[in-house]
Amino acid sequence: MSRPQHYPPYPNHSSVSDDGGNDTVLWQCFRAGDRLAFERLLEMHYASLLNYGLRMSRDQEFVKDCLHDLFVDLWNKREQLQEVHALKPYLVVAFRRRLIKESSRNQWFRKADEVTDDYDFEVQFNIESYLINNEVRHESLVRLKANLEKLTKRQREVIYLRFYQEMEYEAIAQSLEINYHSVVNLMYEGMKLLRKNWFLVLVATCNLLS
Amino acid sequence: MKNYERYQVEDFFQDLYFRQWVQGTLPASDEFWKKWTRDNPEKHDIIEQAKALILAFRVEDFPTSPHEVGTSIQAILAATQSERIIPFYKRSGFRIAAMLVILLGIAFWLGNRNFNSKKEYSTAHLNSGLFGPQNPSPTPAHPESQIQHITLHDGSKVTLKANSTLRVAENFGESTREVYLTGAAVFDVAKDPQKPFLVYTENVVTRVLGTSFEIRDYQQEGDVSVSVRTGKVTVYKNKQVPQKALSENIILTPNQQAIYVKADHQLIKTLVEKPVKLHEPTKFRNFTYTEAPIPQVLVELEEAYGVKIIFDEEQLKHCNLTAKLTNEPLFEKLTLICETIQASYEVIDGQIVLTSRGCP
Repeated sequence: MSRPQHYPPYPNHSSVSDDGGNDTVLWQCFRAGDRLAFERLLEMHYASLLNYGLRMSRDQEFVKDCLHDLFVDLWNKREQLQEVHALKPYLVVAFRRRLIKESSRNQWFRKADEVTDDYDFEVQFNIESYLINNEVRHESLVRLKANLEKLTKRQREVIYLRFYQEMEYEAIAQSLEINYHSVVNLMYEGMKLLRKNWFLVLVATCNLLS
Repeated sequence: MKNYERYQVEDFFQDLYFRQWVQGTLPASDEFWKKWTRDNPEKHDIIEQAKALILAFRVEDFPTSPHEVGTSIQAILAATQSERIIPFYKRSGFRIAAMLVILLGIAFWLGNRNFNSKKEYSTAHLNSGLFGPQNPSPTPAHPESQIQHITLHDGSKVTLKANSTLRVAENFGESTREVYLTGAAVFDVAKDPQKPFLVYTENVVTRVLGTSFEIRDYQQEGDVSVSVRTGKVTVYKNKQVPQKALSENIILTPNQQAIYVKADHQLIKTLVEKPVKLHEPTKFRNFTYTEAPIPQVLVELEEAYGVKIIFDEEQLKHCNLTAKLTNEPLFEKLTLICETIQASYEVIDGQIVLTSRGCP
């Protein structure tokens, strides 16, 4: 696996790869004022957006308020909205911008343009909690822990979007407003830190996760 | 159809369909993987490794109840309901309309309850009822210089220092245990891995699962410190500081301390002023040494105080120590050792680094 560009694509029988044209249609209905489409949109995306937001801010009420306002605004402005083909990235971007804007509202001294790229994002892996909560002495586990600590926030976010939100690279790129290759590289660099240690994970896994 | 026969561990790890099987999110009727693993027994090891990797790198969840999500969705629908009702009725008929009226009522009722306690941590209740019998008066702030002992209802004990206040979140103990501290306090947190204990102060957030530690964050004082006695804690900067500086968190082990420098919003890891012994040394009684090799002495100190000491074993292997180091604090012990062998030490990133030219 030396070439990061060659991660295998999803198999066709996967149950989630059904958003081909559906997003486009759903969005059109929503813009036309269809309440059922709006409900469907909320059912599909509310929970995962909330989860995303909570990783940016621990203040649950604040995150919920932002999300509430986002959807209310989308509905009220639906007639002026653009055509969208991939809803999830579209909503992630809109929600993140709103969270950043709202959380910086009181900080009048901050310049408008320095807000966007460095926001907090909290992602912790099972193995990490295990390593934090247990004294590990085995040298390779200590090294794995050190490697995990090297993962950047953006790498964690990419891994989170990929494996928790189960998004494809293209959608992740759109969500983070970076290009496809940057996503693949972030992922590849992230996995590289862990790769040398995968066999050790086995050791830990036997004790902790089964 | 993918060519799974050629897949390596990492390919499986990346494969969504495989991941879904491992995480149990495929419909029960989907027996593809069961069959495939049976048909390809030679892949057993690879499959098991990929499974382990997926489980180890599952992202820890932030629990949100489906009920709460449902309520929030209804609140959004209610808030957007006032205009354009007609297309909705046309499409869906009276059945849904009737249902919506009921849900609307519930949503408004719940919505009003929720939105009163909106935004900002400052709305967290000063709920004296949660402070337990030791503190019947509803005044958590107590300017008089006295120490107050509080037992929270999860069993955690808090020793609140002078001029400090502790507020307990409304939903303390539901999915997390959150408290807001101004001033200084020593926490002895009851272990509950399911519900992380979070202490917010103006400048830092400390996250623990069950441990004992102290926080000082007085407004009038320069820097903030979090020091650990037992267990492990994670320290983050609080969100109220400019976002640009919100990058890192620090993991602390016993006798380590995080200092938050207010001036430049930096979090630094160091050691507490007076490290305490975590357990008594076993091999050498009471740190009494006769011609003991220095590396052995350092390793013993390392174990007794739970603090990492970095040194060059090769260089120090001819250095010996004859001394009685029973009662001195750790740093004095180290100073004595360093004097004996012409070395020096410094504290870097919560560890002790000892430099020496070695002994003849």
